[in-house]
Amino acid sequence: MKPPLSALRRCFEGAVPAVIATCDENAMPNVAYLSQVHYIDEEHVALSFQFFNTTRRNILANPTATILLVDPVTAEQYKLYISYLRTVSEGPLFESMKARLAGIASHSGMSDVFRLKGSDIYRVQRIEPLPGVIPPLPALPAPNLLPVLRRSITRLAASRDLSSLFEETLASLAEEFSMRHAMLLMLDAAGEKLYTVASRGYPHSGVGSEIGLGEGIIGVAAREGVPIRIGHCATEYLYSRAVRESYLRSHASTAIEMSIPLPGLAKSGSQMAVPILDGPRSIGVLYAESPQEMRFTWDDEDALVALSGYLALAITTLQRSSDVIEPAASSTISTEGDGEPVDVCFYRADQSVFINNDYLIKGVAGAILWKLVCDHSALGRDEFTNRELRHDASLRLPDVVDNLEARLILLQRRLAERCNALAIEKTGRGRFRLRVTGELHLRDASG
Amino acid sequence: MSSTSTGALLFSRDLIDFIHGPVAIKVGSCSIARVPSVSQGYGCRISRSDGDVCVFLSESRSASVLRDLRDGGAFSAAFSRPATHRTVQLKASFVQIEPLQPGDQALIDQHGLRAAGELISLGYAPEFSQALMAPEVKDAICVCFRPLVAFDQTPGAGAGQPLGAGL
Repeated sequence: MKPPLSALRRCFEGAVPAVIATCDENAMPNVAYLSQVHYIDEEHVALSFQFFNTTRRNILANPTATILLVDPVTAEQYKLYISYLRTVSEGPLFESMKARLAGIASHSGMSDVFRLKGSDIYRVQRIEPLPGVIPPLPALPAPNLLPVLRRSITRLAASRDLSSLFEETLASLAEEFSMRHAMLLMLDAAGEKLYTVASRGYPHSGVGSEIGLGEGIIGVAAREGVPIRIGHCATEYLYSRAVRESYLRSHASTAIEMSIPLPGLAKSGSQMAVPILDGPRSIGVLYAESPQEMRFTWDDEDALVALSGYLALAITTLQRSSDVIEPAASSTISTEGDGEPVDVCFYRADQSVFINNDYLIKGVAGAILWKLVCDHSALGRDEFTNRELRHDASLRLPDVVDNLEARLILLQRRLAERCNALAIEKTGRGRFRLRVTGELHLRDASG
Repeated sequence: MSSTSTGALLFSRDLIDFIHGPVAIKVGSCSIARVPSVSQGYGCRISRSDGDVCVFLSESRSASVLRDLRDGGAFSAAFSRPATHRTVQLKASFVQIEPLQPGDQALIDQHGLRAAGELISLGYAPEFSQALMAPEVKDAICVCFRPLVAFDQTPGAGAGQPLGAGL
């Protein structure tokens, strides 16, 4: 029986290079190794086009080729008879293959040699299994991820607010999928930067750290709306490096002392970035990594894409409901304790806030905090609602429904990590309290 | 590498050692309808005196390649060392398909041992390396040819260049 193409996806992981045979107009065959065979769907694969070589010339003259694939577990071999359709040199497929090729090149010491010129798309005409090894090598059954996915979605569905949804997502990755190093990033409303709202499995949470759209595999996954999974990590795709270089390019507005260190493994072996899509639009990225090379499989990618689909629905639903105001859970007010004086300094240019001269946060979250502490000092308020923030012109929130709730979570966590005197506490759906346990001294540095 | 008065290529000692070393061997053919095929070789024998090369194939695992060759098709054989990526491809317009000669089975066994050992040294599982490079081949035959061209296919700037004299 002929296997479906998806049953051969293990052969496409790159553990054993595939080989392609082509022939020229004089029927002279040519055999060449392939850096990457990419599964597109049951009828199509894409091959990396790196050089204008004999294979390329042959394909343009005679668009028929045959690939020899090797199963990296059982050593079984398969032939794919394919015909060339077209080449793409931009877009999701290209970017995904480019990131993966960079990893392969880095792993094999070929970084200066391997550069993706295009993704050649082929139609698979026929699959032919070759007679197997006798006796056959046993293959352990792949872990069944469906129950894992089901349990994870059940856990996510129990979340009643964004904060617990984020926590439960990363807890599910760790406890259900055994993906112990992960983070969740949201795209800002301007669509230019992703900021970390939750992480797990790192010495420092890195909440509030940012990465630009298109930078590293996280940034590329968000920009292209495509999952990216690499089994060998390329230096140029390490997001820490991407971010550092971004800072160096535009350091004027992001002085290094104002940067929040990104979480991340110092020596990452495998990485997977899955966009969180609201329709065609990326609203964030779910990212997992492992010190082990080739850790994540196609099935892992499928499962995380499905999970992130549910996550996207849950995020948008909870964000909408965060503007609905419920009565406060408690009327107890606990402010103005006997704590030390707290210097809060606001720089209007980039909306950054420093607490006792230490950088805390900037951007929308910084503006929100400044409004809260100003209202607290001037009006004695400590109860606030999401809705009033959304309608406050001074915060310059975009008209579209944005991730205000995610910004509040970010602010809440940064305060919890960096400032003992201030805290944000949820008091009900759409409402929260600013808890102040020190004497605030406010300074508007731009004024 | 140089050539005889008949145009056949003569191999340098280095190239013979390379091809007899722990290389992966992949062979290609082209059908009358110009559909290419590909399969794996399990070792080879080179005669330096006349430039003939014989690659050992499995009759059952190379069925379509052998069908193309029996139809008079051309042949190519790529030899690639996994540890270094050094790759050389030989091509010929015609081949002869012959049974194994005495001593060929020993060459197959020796090649399997070396090639599997190379993969193991690179971190592949021993059982996998053995199954891929040194499986039991009960239906081995020889595809013998006199290469007319040889190419360096090591990834990089020189890929695709014909091997020059003395290589």
